[in-house]
Amino acid sequence: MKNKEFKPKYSDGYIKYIHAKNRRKAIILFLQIALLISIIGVWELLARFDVIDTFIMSCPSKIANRIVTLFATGNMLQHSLITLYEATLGFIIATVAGTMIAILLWSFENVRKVVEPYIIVLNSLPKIALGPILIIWVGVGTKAILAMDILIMIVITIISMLNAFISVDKDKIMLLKSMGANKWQILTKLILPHSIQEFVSVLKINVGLTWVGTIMGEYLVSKAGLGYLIVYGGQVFDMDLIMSSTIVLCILAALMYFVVAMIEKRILNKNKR
Amino acid sequence: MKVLQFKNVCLNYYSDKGETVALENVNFDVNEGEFVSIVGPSGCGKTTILSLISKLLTPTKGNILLNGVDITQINKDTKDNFIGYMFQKDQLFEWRTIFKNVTLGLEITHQNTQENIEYANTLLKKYGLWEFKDKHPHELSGGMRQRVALIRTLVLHPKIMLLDEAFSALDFQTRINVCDDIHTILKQENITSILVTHDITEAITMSDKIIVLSNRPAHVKNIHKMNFDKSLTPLKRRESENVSKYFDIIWKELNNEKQGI
Repeated sequence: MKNKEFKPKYSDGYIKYIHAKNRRKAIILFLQIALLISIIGVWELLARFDVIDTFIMSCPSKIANRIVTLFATGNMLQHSLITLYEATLGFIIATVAGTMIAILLWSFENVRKVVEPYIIVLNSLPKIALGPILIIWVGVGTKAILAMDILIMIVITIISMLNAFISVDKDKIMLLKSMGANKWQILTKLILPHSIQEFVSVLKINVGLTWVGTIMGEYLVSKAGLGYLIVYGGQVFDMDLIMSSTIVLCILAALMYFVVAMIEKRILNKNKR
Repeated sequence: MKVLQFKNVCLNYYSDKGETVALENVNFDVNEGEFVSIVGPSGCGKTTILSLISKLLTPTKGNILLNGVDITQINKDTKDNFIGYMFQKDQLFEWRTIFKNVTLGLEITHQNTQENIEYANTLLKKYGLWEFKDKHPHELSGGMRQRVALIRTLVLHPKIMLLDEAFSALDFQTRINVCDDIHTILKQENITSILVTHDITEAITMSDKIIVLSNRPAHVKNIHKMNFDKSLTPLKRRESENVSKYFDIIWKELNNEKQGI
């Protein structure tokens, strides 16, 4: 005899509700795509009918052509990889170092009290102001770009992680102490797992900030990278180059965010709450 | 046999506002397997007494003896003198499964031997949590969570169990059931327990002895022995006439204390 498959029965009202929900989702997605296509279409039409000056505003078809040409010659790929390398390396160093410093400051309360005002001042300081100092200290090139990138992310990483560490319920710490836990055990069994959600938030903040830092660094000192292409495009008034580089930058940033979102999903699945 | 003795215990706090005398010559004994409650006016120092027993604070004067040995002389790492602590909230770690929560103390004290893990499993089975051992705390009811918190402490074979307002975060119905559960488990395992509570009825129905504290600086105002049939659970004790009799006496004592009489 054939096994009957279990099919849950839903009421008509519930089926209608699900259909309405799916329809709404589809409409929103359609409108999102339509909005993008409309902007590109209107921009292209305005350029074709000479309503806007393509020398100043550029146009989608010229930008697309330029991206294809730049990738075909290998130029865009080379510049993109340089920027991607700097942004990724800066992101990893700042996140790891910032978290390590936050752990140290949590471990030594007196040290935390001493450095707290300096961290607050450093956080409110516009990091770009430190650009010339960084160039003098570490020289021009990748080192200065990385230094600028790390500087932009590290302070916020320290502050966010430290706040997460010290917001842990005091009774939970007392519970572990009553069991005879040492500082290392309190850190590894409670503080770090408790702060995993905040760590994921920091990853998401840093994935945005790392592009700000890298491009800012490239504006200041670089001879290659997407930031360099944008600055160069501005200097020679090549609007197509600026727009092409910006679009590639957007795609890279979105890809990196997507990777972090995947990591977030994995981490949160592993640490179900 | 006396498990715990407080002998003229005094405790002074120091802060920017000056010196506060929290406890003044506190004296009481707790016998093995006894369930003792401490009641008193708000802020009088009930939780301070628990902090002293668990060695989170040290007395300014006087002695606290655990099995006849001064508590300050006992090495904190000595596993044979573990003092269990239950808080107002269950303090379960949400990212750990129930089994991992229960064995947390074993990990901390490096005692996760096969024998101890077996004991943890036995307790989970005995107290109806075996099917939930791979679940996370958010999947359990408030009462079950408190039971997990208790088992987490029981696996470490505590000499004394301290319960700091351990049931006050629960709704009334759950609270009565949890009190019943926890009391039954503690009695079955013959664990000496000290409960700090604001709820006089809870203290009366759970305890063998109630210590009434005075206003700050706290000293022992009175000690009442509860006269109930030992086989009765807290829920059954609520039906006894003695409850209202004890309630009146303790209520008056606390009220007088509040009015400074």
